[in-house]
Amino acid sequence: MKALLSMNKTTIDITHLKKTFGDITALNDVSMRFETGRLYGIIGPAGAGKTTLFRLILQMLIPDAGQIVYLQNNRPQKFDTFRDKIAYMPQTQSLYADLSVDEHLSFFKELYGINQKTYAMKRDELLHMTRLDKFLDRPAGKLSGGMYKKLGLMCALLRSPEIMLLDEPTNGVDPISRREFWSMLQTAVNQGILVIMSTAYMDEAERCGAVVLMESGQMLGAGEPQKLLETAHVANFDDYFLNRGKEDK
Amino acid sequence: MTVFSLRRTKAVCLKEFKHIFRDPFTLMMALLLPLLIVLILGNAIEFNVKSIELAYMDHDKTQSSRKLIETFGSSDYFRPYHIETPTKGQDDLAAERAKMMLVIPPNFEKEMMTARTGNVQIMLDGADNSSVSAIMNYLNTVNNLAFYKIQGLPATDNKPLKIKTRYLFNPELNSRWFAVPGITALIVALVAIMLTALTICKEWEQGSMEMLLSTPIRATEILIGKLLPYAGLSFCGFWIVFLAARFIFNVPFNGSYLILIGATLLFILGYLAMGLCISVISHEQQVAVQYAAVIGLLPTALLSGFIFPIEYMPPVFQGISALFPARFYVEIARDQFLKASSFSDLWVPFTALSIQIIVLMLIGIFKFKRTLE
Repeated sequence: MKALLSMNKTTIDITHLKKTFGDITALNDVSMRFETGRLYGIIGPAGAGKTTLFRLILQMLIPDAGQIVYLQNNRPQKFDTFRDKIAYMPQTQSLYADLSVDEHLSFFKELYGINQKTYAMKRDELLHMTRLDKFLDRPAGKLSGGMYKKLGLMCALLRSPEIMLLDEPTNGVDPISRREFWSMLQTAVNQGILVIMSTAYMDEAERCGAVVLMESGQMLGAGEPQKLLETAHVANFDDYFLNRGKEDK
Repeated sequence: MTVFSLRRTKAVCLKEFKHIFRDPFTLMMALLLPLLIVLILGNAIEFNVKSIELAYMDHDKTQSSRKLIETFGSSDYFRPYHIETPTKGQDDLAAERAKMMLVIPPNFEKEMMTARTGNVQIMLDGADNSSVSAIMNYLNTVNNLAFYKIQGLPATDNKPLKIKTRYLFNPELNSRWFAVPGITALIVALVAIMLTALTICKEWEQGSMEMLLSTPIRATEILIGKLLPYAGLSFCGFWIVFLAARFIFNVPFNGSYLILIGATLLFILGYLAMGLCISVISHEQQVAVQYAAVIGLLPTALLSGFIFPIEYMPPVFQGISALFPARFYVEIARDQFLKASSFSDLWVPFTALSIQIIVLMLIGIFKFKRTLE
């Protein structure tokens, strides 16, 4: 049954979304659409509105204008039923420094209400994938940057989500761990999970199936990375943003 | 999605216990500090003044004047010593070697015999307000006793009106007996308000709250799971004070355990809610500590009747004190330790306490849910 469900197409449809905090406009008239089977990258420098977008999708914030529609096989769903399908990994270090890898996993198992059998399977699979099995008893506070992020990803993947929101998951992670992290994400996408991640690393944009380019709360463009680069006549996304800066002046 | 899941609440509760037992600071604050505070406050709070150094100058040097000094000395309260000159006495007062100076004039006995009244001069260290009021009380008694002694009459004289005072509930007017319930309130304030505010703020500061909120867990489950361990710790703190009071300071307990424990649990609930409210106002631990001190600890110490009696406060402050659960809790606790009134006599503070707790809880939970925005 679960397998059948995950074959379903999940869509998040965002139209004319706006969010302000006092005088600051964090998001201005943003529309985008995310669908199962792809890895989406929200690309943009700090302050682009990436985290705000995630929080709005998770309904931790309420938009000032516009709407987010959650669809299952093109049928609109209530967020409450949708929420259980989403796993979220916040940008800030959000694990408990004094709890071990193992304790994190079993804590999130309880929160997600996973039964013991599924948990045992999932746990082994994830530990194998992240190669954290040797560090089960190590407290999260004593893990390296890369291992820490992997543990965060494990906690998010534990619930077998249909959608994953990752807010700058590779920020501050060494190049080798970043590569490993990316292949883990690719595995997740291949399993039929809709993955949306944000990053400020422009080189990562090219690895995504589709990207949304953002700057100062505005959406600059969206689509397949190569096509976007061709239309803008630039070699990479660094140049894309740099050229924009010049145009503004 | 279930409305309330015991499993998730239990998981948060268990996690919180792990945090507590792995953090020596929290444990110390919760268990060692109460003991320390009771021992320090219990020994230091002594509103009964004893062994008052009394410098005297006897210009009369008669049997009567000696009897007067003897009366002072025969009580536990005064320790008379002789001085030669008034300047010496004043020096002693200034240097706080003496709390009081007594000067007996040359014709003291003569006056006593003829006019039946004698005049003596007493000088007190007015800078020390609390001892002065105590000394003034003792002086009245000494005055009477000395009169009978000098006149050679038995102390039980046939005075037309005899006033015999008996202090009910606290026969010795032992101030420690009076102080203990206040200390309990102070410790619950410390543990419940401070630690609760800290633990929730920590979760915000670390960013783990965001992670938690993205899981199926409900706000009420987070709150119950996180607050329950601290309710337990506060209750332990209460027992530490209670046992120390009973067995170290021998404070009697006449009331009903049911009423005292009931009131204590209500009070803890109220202060947990207050801690929660603070964590809503500020998500930073440092700021939360300051709020906890100002709206938690200070009113508990100053406006609960622990140090300053409520009845003698100006009406405005009486009104303000009624805003804090501590006032009603101290009232109930004090009553249960010493007077042991029945529940029906205590319905006013109990009702007040309950209303406050419901209001605080509602504000806390409602605001907590709102700050997710």
